[in-house]
Amino acid sequence: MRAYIHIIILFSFIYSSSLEFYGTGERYNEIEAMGMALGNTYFFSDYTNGLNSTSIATLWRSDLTRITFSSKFSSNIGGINDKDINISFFSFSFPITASKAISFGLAPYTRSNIKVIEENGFSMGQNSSEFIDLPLNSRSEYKIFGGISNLYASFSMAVGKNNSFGFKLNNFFGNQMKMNKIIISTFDASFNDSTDNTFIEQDSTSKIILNQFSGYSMQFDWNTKVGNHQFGASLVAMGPININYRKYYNIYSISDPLERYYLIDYSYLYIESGNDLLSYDPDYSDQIDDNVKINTFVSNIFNRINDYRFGYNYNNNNIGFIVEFHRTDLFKNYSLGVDDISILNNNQPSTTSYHLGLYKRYDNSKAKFFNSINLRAGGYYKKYFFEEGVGSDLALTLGIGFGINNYSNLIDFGFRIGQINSIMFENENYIKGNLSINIGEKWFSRSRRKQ
Amino acid sequence: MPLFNLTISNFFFISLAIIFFSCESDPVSVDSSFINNNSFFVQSFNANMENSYTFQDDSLFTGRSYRLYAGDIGDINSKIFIKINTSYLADSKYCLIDTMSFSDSTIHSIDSLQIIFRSFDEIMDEDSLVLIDATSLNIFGGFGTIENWNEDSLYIFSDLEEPINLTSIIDSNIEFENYTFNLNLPFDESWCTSEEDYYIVISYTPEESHEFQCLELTSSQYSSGISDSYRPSLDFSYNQFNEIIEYIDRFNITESYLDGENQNIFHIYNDTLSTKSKIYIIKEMIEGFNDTINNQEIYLNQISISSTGFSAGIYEIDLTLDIEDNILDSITTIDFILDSIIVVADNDDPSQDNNPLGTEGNGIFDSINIDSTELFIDLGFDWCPDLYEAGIENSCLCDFLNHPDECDTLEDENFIYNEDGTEGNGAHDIGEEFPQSADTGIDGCADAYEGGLNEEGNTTCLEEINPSYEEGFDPNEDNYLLDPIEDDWNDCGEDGLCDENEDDYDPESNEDPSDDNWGSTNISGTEGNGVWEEGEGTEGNGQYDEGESYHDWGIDGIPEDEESNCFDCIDDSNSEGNDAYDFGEPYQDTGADGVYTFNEDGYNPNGTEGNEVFNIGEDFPIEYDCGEDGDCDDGDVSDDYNIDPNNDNWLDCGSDSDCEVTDEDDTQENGAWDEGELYQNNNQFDYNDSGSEFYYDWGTDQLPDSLEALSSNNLLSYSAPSTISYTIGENLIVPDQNPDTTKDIIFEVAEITSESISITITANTAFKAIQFRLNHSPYINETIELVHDNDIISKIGQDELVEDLSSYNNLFDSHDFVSDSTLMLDYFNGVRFSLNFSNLSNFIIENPGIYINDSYTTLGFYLYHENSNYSFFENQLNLWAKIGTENRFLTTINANSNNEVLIPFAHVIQDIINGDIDLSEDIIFLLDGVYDNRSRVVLYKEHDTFSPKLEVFYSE
Repeated sequence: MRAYIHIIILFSFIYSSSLEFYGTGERYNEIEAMGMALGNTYFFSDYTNGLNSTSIATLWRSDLTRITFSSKFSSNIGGINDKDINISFFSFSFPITASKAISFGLAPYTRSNIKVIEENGFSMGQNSSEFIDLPLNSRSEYKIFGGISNLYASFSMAVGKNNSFGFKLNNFFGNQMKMNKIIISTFDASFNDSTDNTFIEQDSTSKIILNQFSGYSMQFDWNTKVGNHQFGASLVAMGPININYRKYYNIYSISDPLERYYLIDYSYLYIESGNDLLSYDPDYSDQIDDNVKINTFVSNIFNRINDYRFGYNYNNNNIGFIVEFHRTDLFKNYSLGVDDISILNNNQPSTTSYHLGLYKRYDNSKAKFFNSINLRAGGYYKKYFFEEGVGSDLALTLGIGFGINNYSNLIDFGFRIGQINSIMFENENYIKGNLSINIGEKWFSRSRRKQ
Repeated sequence: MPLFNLTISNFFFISLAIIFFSCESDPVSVDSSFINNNSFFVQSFNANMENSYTFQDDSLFTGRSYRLYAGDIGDINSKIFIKINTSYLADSKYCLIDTMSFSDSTIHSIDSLQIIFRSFDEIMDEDSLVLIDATSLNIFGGFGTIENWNEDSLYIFSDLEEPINLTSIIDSNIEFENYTFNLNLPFDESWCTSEEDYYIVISYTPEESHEFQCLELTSSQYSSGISDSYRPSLDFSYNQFNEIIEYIDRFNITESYLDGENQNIFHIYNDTLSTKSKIYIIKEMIEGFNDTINNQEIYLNQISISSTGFSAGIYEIDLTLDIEDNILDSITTIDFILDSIIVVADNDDPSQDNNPLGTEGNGIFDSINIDSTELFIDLGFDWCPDLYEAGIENSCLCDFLNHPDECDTLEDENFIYNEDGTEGNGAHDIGEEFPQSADTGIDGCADAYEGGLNEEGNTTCLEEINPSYEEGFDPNEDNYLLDPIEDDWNDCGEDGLCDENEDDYDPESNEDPSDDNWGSTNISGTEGNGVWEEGEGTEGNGQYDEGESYHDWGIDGIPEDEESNCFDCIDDSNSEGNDAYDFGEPYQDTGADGVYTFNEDGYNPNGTEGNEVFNIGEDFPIEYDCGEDGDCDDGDVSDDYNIDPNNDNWLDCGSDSDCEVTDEDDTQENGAWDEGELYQNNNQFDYNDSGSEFYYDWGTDQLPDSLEALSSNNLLSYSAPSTISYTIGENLIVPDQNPDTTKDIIFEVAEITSESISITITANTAFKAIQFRLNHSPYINETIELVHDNDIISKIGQDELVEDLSSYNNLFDSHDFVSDSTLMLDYFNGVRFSLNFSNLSNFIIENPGIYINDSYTTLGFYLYHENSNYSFFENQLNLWAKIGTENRFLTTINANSNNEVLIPFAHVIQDIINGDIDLSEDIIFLLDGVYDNRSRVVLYKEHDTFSPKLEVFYSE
């Protein structure tokens, strides 16, 4: 249990933006540098081996055992201060036959790490009660961190000469902690300046919600190559997401009520992780199970499609372009829609996005160590379908990649600069970067590789 | 070396380092409309009238009450039944009487047993007048059995059949005190042997006209919260053997001889003195000196030693011993030791200051400088301290210097000195009238003479009336005013006058001249009813009054621009902005003047003029300084302030000796004595033609020769033997004790017999006096003594000795509870009510995991004072809720005229939500028996305004 929580906290210090207010946090789609540089595309690679470590249908193309790390940074441009650097992706893949490979990986699925201060709060008129003397106001302060992680296993294989197939089983797990201090004040009217009314704090309630997620989904990818043309398709079917829900109220720094009274110290315990809650019994707990069982999931698999993507790549020797269409979060889980599960009870937005990627590869066949330099550019336009309206994300991307040691090692840098427009928040300008390192070794190399 | 020859583990650690590189985020400020997650709510619940009802619960156990009642409790009479558990006594020390064992802590005999009852009302006044009708008090007692007796579980109204053998135990020995009465119980052996318990039945049936209708006593459940000692108690008066340990001297010195004569040798035989067994060898002591040293503890430095000493030589000392006959059979030896030895050298003038060479004894007062003088007593010419001054002709009540013992025998009434006197002490004391004319404030200046504040901000006072003064002006701004406009609400009734301001008010005989005080006999009274009435002040009256400022924000009390996030602020358009005050709108409770008291002109809570309190700086007229009795012409000097009866104290009043008149020669208050000033305590020796202050002609060392002799450098060295053990009956010739012969004085014990001890003192040099003590180890005697003692107990170990309850009939026997349209609570008669709230169950089911706010969640009741069954106009009551088997304390209700009772109810709702209480059970409201059991509360049940209402404030 403790180790479980530690893992989640380790991956929780990730970039925050207004998108973190929805669902269980910001959905992570771009986790690898090459895809980011190519306009946040998913399916294709500009390396000669055609390997893209996040596109599972391409994994069989490498005959090496590969380990991939991605580390990313992000920063807002203007607006509130928000900077992060951390790991975003890890995978381990190895071939099992000449045309088959298996991989395992760990990546964030949704994340949130935000502090929120409610500006005005909610008022309660004096006429709402027969017994209170003044109108009341309640205002909240939130601290939310954690989310869902994805520990996956995938299988990749060639189907004939020009087709590839990938299957990925995503195992979702993770914790999300939501701390909420509700400050209750009386509304005291000012008679000196009618606009200068004051709230006098009278009481407060601390609420901590710890949600523990578990679930799975299945992903199916297909790639087809016809001459210089490649086509890709992917769809994800969501399995059940179950949640262990725990609610704690008023956990004080001083647990003994008498000591608390004598010291007049009613401060709340500062919670840094789920570990701090292990010694407390929740005031309320519930096991929220999704409304689909494992045995009915297969028969309903097409009714539970959450994401789908289509892509096209034209590649003429060392130059090419990619266009893709993505649609995510179509399906709404029952369990994630229960109160207190999604952040501030806001559902995850659906997205529709159009991606364009351009690349130019400079091969260097003379050098044994240095094989190619890949220049990349791109952009995308994404529409967010929030409950309260439509938002958008328009971004330009740039990147560079290096194939090294006969393409056994790949180093990619990707940058993205863009602007998120949403209805509820000011426009958010951002810059993000990603460094991916893909290391190939011969531990399980297949015989077809030429030594 | 190729870059990617780095190992996987190196990458892993580098990446880990990156994780912790940076994480920095500011809080995001978000509009509440986005949060859309209001976490604080209120839900109101009205009582479901069909399922709310008053009923009588005859399963109540009245034995658990903190109080007992004998007498009229309404229309019925109550008796008190007491049971004394004799089984607990049987094994106690009070039943283990042994007249022969003589062992420690064993009771020899019981003199008496009383039971002590404590009343909540005064039953005897300060003049020892018994306030109850003692002739109507009947108390029966005796051994017996009450079959259905069970204090803890005897149902209310159960019939208790008195044991048949009870007899009256009330007699003339019943002792009344202010709040207690003690009753003798006929304690005998049967209390320890009887298998039956002892019962007492108290009944009280006074005439209806008697003021004291009911005895209300503490019960065996009573607790003050700190102590249980006020419960009914048994007072055992008994005689007990106690072990006494006594230290007995083995001998006394009866006679002492120096060289065969009883001259110049003195001994102390008084065994009450710590100086006992000391021997003094001194010449030329006054006659009776041996008696003096046996009457009080006198040490060598207190003795005036003769100038005549002893020459060097050998001195034989014989001390006659009287061995204590009472212990003679118990002792065989005595261990003697000589200690406390002091030997004074033979030197007539150790300090060499005697006349004519020195100043000692020269007959005149000598002084070298102000710090080096002969010792004098700075008491003035009367040689008398203030305490003993007679106040007549500079005389003293006793000879303080020569015979101070006389002064100790003076009775209090002889003293003229009186520092505690309040008459003429120049200060205002309780009981003294403080005239309004003197209440001028710390500036000592009445308004009419005040000249205003000067440039430094200090007050000024004119010698003549300020020509610009007008009535009501306060130039120095020092007038005490709390309510200048006199518009503060004070709940004094419609007449606007509080009791003390009403005509003919008398705190004892006429407390409420206008008969407008709210109470049980006047529930329409307007004074002290907690409600504002016309005629009372309007500031702070808790309601809007014409002239007060208000915000025309509507009944929700929230301005329009704040209503966007207020879910219940929608329907106030009729009241918001209608240019009229509506209930709920914020206002300033300033009163009709529109100004708070502290902003009213003249408001000055720190003012000292007119505050009816004497302040330092105010002149308290001497004609009012009459003492606590307030009578200046009382002819009684006992309350006169007098700290210098002979009027001889130096007060630095100057050469004219008058402190009231400032001396122009700067001699007043100059810190030095000046000619013309008085003498006592002026720190200098005074004399004139008529006499002088007393002085000791001892020279400037301020020591007489006798004390000079006791200075350490004038004492001689000595040698004395160690402990010598003597067997009684033998003639002991003490062998050589190996003295140190180099010493000035050598003590040796020569011979010891049963009758005497001989000591040889070899003086190698002359000496003036010797002190030593013939010490020994006393005999320790352990004896048993019979002592009288008494215990007041209510329990033995953890067992309560007394069980008790009140027995009475059902007052509500014929009451139709089904048709009762009120909610009623009565502990005495087991009247309770059940309250059911519509939709509360659904609310709790539909909102699992909510948190109930303690501060605001309230159950509101409304008292029905006018109901004929209502009887709660004084004191307090504890209100409880019972749900199933769970009891929850709710609150303590104070009796007052405000009919709204707000009860914290969050903990009950929270317990229901948490599953600790099952809401499927009725919520029963009830009283406990801690406070007056006769109180009866009636609440409105179904009413347009006053029906019970529950408001639950909660967080999701």
